[in-house]
Amino acid sequence: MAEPITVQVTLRSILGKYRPDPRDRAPFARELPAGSTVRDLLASLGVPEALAKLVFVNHVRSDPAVVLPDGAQVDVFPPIAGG
Amino acid sequence: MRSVLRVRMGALAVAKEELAEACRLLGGRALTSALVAAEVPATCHPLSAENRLVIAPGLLSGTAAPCSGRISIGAKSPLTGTIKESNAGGTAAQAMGRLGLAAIVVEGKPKSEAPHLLFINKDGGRLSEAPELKGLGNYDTVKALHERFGEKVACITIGPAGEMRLAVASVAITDVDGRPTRHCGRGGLGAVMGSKGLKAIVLDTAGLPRAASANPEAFAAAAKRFAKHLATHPVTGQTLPMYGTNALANVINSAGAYPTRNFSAGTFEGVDAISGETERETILARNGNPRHPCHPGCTIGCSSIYPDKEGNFLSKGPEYETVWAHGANCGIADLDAIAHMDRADDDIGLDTIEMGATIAVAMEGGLLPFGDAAGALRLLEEVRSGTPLGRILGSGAAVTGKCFGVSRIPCVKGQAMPAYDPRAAKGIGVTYATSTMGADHTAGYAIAQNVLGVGGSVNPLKPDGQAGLSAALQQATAAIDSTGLCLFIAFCVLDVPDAGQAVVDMLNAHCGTAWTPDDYVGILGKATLRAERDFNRRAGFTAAADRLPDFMKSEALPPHNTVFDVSDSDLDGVHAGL
Repeated sequence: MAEPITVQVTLRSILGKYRPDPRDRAPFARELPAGSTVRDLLASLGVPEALAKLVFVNHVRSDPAVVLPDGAQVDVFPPIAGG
Repeated sequence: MRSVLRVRMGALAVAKEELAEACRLLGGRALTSALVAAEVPATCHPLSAENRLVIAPGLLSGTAAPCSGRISIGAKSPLTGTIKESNAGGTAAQAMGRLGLAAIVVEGKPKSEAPHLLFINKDGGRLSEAPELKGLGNYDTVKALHERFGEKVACITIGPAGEMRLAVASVAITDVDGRPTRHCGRGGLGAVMGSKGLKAIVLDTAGLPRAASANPEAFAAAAKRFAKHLATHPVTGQTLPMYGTNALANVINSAGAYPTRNFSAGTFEGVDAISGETERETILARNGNPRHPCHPGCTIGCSSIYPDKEGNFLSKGPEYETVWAHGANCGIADLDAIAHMDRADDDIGLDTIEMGATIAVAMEGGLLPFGDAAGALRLLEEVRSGTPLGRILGSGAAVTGKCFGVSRIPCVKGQAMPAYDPRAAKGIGVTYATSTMGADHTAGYAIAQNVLGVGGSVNPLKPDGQAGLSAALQQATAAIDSTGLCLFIAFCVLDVPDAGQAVVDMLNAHCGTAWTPDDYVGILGKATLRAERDFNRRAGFTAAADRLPDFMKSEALPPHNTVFDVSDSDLDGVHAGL
């Protein structure tokens, strides 16, 4: 049985309400079974996939099917833009 | 029938003439570029009497179209030597639309040294000397103009930087509260205005209705449809209004494309302190306004009011580019310091992008350390004072780099790159290299597809597909720049085909045309780029200028450790479809 993985997660802007403490924007650790995907992470946090428009895994924009490496930094944004 | 106001500074004469038939369906950038290309000798010195300053609202400015208050100012640029169009929000475009003015063209030079004031109302325009405005910052200038002409006038002004004809000088436009916070920043057009001895233009629309449309019912229906699309798209309807443009700081940092310490890295450890989320929290805590439209009729409202620690007005919420330029690019993680610098830039009349890039180059050159916020603010005041050092800095990043022996100069055609490193976002790199404007992000905003997932998806870290992406965006953007619509509508239009159709429907109903979407891109977009490319060619620019600086092809940018590797032949093919 493979060891579980731990990722560091930030949930940005209007996704803040899904953080363990909505007011604390710092990255939080999340333990998941080995082989978990972005989709699995979002489901475990209760974040609707449709709202998680931009997911960066170690600075690379990633689809929901991407498998998470141990120790990954995962940043999740809603549909967002600016200049 | 729209008019052109010809302002001859030599004779101090102002005359209204009918807009030429060839320009009848042009506005905004399409019109400024057509007039500059036709009337300015391409080899003239940009500060000479032969240059022209052309100010044109968009085709829809002055109507009830949502988000239609954008103005274009064009000339030969003192910073780049290319043709230039610089764009801003604020109140002047709609004022010109109501006044029935397609353009104001300022030509020649006055005989006297005194700054001049141009007052325009429904009866026409008149020029007068205004020695009392000499040397004033934009805030005091606008205050004096409001005292003299009333609070409701729209003002186009330059600060001391423009009066000194510095290449980083901007042209300020008053916002909905009458403050000079919206700027035609890029390319030194404030210096052109200063070289013509013109300190201020005042537009009085008292008693004037909105601009009339050819088909008012069809126009109203299309505008309503367009407004609904803007309101229901998650970016234009929710996150952009809530967090403003600086919402992007964390996104671009997460993508590893956030240029840090003069483009030496793609992430900034201090990004959270200067992020859009922090900016919003600060504004709310100080009873500022986190959703403030920069012009009347904007339904997005991405700007904001940023108070100081005491709760008094300090500046409009610094935009993403300003926060990056004075923040991460200088190694500064203090949002209040950045807001003070934003206020100073607005008052002195400086392009915040170029100024931040310049200070970062000066930091690399050893003038002051990275991270020195107080030092950076002092340098802005040097520019205001016109000291020799101030004049060097006010001439931009490339000149400053030469003076301080710096080799990492992030410029194309002499203009500094904005807040996206092209080694980690290769689409915007193609735009920087090939735009007629020099390193310019709005000219073909490939970040939408490279990073934001808007309008499709193109991997930012590979060279594939970037040239075609940038080409299509440059054409579409030149068209939007001609309509008076804010470029941010593109986040909706790129995702929602009927929103793009609604734009064409509004234009057809207002102008009495029967354009298809291809006609619209062709007439307002491609033709504009052709005119600009031709001007630049006549000004002496060749394909050699359509390149990024060499260091970006060899110096790998962390965290992705990539270089810019879109081929020269791909770059040379970008404009083949014009």
